[in-house]
Amino acid sequence: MCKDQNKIKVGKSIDNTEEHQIDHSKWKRRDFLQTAGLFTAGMAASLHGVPLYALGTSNLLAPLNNLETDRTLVLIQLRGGNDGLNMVVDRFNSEYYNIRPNIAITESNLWALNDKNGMPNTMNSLRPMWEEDKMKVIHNVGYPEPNYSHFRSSDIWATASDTEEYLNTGWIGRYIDQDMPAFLDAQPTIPPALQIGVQTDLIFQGPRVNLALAVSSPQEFYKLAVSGQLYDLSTLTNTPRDQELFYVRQVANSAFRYSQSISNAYNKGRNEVNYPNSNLAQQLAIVSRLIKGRLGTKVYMVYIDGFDTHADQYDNHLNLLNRISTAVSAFYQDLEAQNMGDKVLGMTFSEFGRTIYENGSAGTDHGTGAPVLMFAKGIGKGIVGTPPDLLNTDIYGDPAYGTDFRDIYASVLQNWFGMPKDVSDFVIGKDRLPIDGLVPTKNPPIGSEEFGALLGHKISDKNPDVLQIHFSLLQEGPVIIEVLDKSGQVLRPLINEFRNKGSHTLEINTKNYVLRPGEYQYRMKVGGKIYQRPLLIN
Amino acid sequence: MAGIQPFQPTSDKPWNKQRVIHLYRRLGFGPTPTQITNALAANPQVLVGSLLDGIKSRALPTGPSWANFTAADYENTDNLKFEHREEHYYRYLTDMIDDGLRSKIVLFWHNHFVTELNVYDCNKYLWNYYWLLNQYCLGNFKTFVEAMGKSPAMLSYLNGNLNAVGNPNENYARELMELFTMGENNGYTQFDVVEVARALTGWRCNMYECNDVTFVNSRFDNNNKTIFGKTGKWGYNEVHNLIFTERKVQVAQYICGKLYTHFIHKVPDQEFVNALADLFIASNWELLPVFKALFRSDHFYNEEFVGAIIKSPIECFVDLVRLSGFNAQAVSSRFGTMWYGSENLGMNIFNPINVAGWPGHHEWINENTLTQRWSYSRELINTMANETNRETLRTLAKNLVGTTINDPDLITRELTYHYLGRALDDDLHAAAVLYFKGDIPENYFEDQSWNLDWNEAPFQIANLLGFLVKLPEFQLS
Repeated sequence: MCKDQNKIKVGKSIDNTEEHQIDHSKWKRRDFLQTAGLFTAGMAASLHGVPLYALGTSNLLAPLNNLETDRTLVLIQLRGGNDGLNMVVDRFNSEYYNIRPNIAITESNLWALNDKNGMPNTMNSLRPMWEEDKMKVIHNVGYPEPNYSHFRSSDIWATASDTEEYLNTGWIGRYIDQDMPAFLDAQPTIPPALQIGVQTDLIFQGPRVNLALAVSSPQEFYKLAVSGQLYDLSTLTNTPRDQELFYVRQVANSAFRYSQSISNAYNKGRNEVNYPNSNLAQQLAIVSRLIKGRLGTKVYMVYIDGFDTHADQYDNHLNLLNRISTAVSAFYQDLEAQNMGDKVLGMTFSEFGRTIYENGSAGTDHGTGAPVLMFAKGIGKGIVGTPPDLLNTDIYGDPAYGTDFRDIYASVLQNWFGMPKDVSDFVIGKDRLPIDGLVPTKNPPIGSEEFGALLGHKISDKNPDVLQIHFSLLQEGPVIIEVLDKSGQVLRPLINEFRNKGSHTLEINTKNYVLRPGEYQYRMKVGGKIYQRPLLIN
Repeated sequence: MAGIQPFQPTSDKPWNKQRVIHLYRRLGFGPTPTQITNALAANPQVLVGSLLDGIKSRALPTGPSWANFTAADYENTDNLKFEHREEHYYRYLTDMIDDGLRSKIVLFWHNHFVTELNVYDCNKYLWNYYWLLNQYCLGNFKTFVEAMGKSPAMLSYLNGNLNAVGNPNENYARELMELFTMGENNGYTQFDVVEVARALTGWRCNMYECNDVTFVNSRFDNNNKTIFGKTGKWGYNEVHNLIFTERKVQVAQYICGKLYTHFIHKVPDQEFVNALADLFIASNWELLPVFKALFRSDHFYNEEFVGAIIKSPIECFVDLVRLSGFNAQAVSSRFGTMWYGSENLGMNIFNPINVAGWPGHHEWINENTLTQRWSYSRELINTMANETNRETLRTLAKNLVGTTINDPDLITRELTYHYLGRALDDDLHAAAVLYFKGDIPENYFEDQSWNLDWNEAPFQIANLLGFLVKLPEFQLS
């Protein structure tokens, strides 16, 4: 059918260098609003000019070890553009076999998801998960007016933008920014998000700061987790240059605020299965250990590269799919050893799918929609949507996408994380409804993810001018308490200091603070969260 | 222990890129890519001589329109005084970026002959002070001291203008010996301080009016003074003659020790300092031969001293700009980041923290200043990668690798060495390569279709730079 490969698709193939370059130049985020790189969000802040490190270093960064883990999202990025047709095969679609004479997956090389769809046998590690209702497949996920540039389309997925809309914050960054409104002035001691692989950190860019800890590789992460420090001090000698380097490395290590929490969680967590040797599996092994060690980070992102299969795709792509399935399978077995498989939602995504026909090099070029896989114990078994219609293509030879990726984001935000729809719409930037039943809906919050609680206030029994504010911290760290007027303007900062885990009572004399009778509010900021209550002074 | 014998490159101690960067970072604000290329083709002894001779013979800065503005000239103007001040800041910063040599020695002497603009608060005095630093930075040290002591900035800052017969003020007299010439408790007594103060009386200026310096005979103490045991009706010139004859060893060793700790390493090698001091005396206080001997010495090029000094904040920024091959104009939108960023990092130029100057070394770096250095450097990098500038980054990388423009590992290695003056260990190098590769899918590297001519290349370089400036090694000079 549509085999007219002479039509030019902008930015589609690396052969098409000039178009590719033009497309790359649209890459507006390259003004570096967000590419802050390593450890941006994890660096020491100061309170009233007193650096945090001076407020206590011993266990400053203790994780929420005693808390129930809350829900976590693990994003698995398939870099380069995944060929969806060969991942989720439309088994009895003759057109699929017609237009892919050399690279189609034949019936004998796949296992059946149901009576229509199948997956290559190299993905059979996922078969038990499928049969145990722990995996969902969403067909043909994409967006209108697709862009065929790796970079631009990655950015569209990261920012949840429309195709001609250029944003410089990512959907996860905006989510965390909503979830932790006090992130900047009362920073949590755990990273809200953690990324292995330094690329495409746009997804974690919040309106004010990049909210992810980015570590370039499993090896770098391993060093960090084991030693609790960014830079090795042990190899340095007594020479003048090494002595100076020692000093700066030492300062850099202590400026890195998350090291203690990561190290603690890593040491507390255990990998209880053997992981394959692939880079992706090693990344997921680390993520599993941190989740099981109760780090408390909500979003992780790992990656696997190599999906830009312009030539000789067949074996390479099957091998990549094998790495995904063996890594994911091991990851969930490991989580379930601690009954945590239902707390962790896994999700694959890629910047685009590939052409439906094979090209002259037994490969495929940049295309549009592709399947998304989702994993979790209890997620159910199911296939959402339908495979692309290979007989009904646009002028470029690509079928229309089926499911908008932002509907999946809405499902994650509203159902998995329990975010109200209006906030979710704000985060996505669009009015989006979740896909019915795609992921388990979160029960009402039970406080398990809280950093503290503002218990309430009362007037002292001994002195009617003294107001007692009771609060409790589940994690030691910096605490800000302030009194606001009814409209939410800060009137009186009360404390801004480091407090230990446990219950506390703050006593203030309302006369000293010149709080005249009236209606106020007071709020506590801790661990990036804000807790607020009304206050009436008679 | 080491003397000042000249450096002769050997196979064990070659004249290589690392030592070129070392020389330019210590003597100046870091090399430009072109300077590196040229220096490698030169004989280091000849090169150092021509660099220092060049500084010495370079034309002095010409005065700005406001060079003689008094307080009255600024009356009824809004912010003009501060606009002129900022013009001067950026003029100095421009010289750091575009010339990068004399400005560094000027900075050294600024931190030696400290005055604080916030105290004397007069643009005319600032200009005069800056001009003196430029004029004498490689001149005769004794003349330099004599000029500084009666400059309006110094007279105002250390109260020399209040020092009068019958009403002596010892402030300048003490610092003249303790900080500017001999060193603390190094050959003078409290009695000498009192007597030197009396000999320095008579100089007058009013910083509130911002007027000129005059010598008022009636304020001069014309009685006998006894300095270092010598009695006479000593005045300004005689005080300096006495210091530079009666205490010449102390002066020479103190100043050469300071040169050593500033330009080589914070712990002086006494034999080297003594040898340099002998030369200083023998050259009758001329600074040029002393600087030449220091930067030509074998000792200076010891590998253990390469990267053994923590950069000051302004060095951190200017070094990054110069190594990248930019001129001041290209980064002028970030002058504020560099100048006021330095101030936030503890280096308010023309306002050192006290009369003893910035102590430097470890004082420059703590958890707060280190992380702030990263974010200011990041801003600079963003500007270096903007639409106007980014081709310079590509050119830099292409010049470093010649024709091999498609090997990300090699390019990362060369860029790393260029900016750090050393190679990274394997783990950090592997991380650096990942930063350089950025968002480009791996297959474009594997099939070698990617190369430095790609549109993304300047951004990839900037991404790598963002990684490099956060490495502890980047803070070292």
